[in-house]
Amino acid sequence: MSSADQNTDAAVDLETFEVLSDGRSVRLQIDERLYPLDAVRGAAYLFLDRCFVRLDRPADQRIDLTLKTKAAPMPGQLEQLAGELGNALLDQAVRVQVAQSTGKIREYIMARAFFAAPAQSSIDQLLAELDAEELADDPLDIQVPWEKGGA
Amino acid sequence: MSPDARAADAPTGAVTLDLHGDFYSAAGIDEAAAAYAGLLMVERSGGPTLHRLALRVEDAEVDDLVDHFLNHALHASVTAARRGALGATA
Repeated sequence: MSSADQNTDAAVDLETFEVLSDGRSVRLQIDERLYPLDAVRGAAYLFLDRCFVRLDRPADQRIDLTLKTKAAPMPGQLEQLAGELGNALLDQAVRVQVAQSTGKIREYIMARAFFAAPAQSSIDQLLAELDAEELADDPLDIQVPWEKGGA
Repeated sequence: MSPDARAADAPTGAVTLDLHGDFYSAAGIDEAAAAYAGLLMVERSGGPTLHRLALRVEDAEVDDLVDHFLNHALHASVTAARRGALGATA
């Protein structure tokens, strides 16, 4: 068994899953105390292009996520989907956790970027520099026709 | 009872589904219903916690029509929830 297969099997073991009687569907029972709602929604979203996805809440703190293949599955495909879903759940759960833990600092950085250094002041500064350059004496004394009058 | 079981018990061409409001928004379901108008007739009732849908397949030639509809509703619901989360952050 390859290391990739071992990783997939490890993910499958995290949750219970069952292959449904239609032969095209696999259902995972997810404990919401382990995987928050946003993580489950995010993981389900990732499979929308490959599978028909259904979410149901059979009980409090429990979510059923059903993946149904869009065509007849290859041998072992449903088990692989279950494994990939387990990995996606973990990935999304970490993303949610990171987003929550770094939310304050991201808001602070955004606030600094937009409000701490007003863009208008730098534009005014550039305009003032241009005006100063135009008003300065020309050391080379280059004649400007519209100022000196026609020759 | 799971959605699959309900769909299997329903008479041919007609399906009743209960979709939980944690995953499927009313706006998402309505958007999907509009997208599948002509192929699928959808009547939505119930509250924000649980949406009860009465579906009637109008074009039986399309395979997995109800599943396509549910995917569309879930996609619309998730993207709307993410837009809402971004709006709350800004």
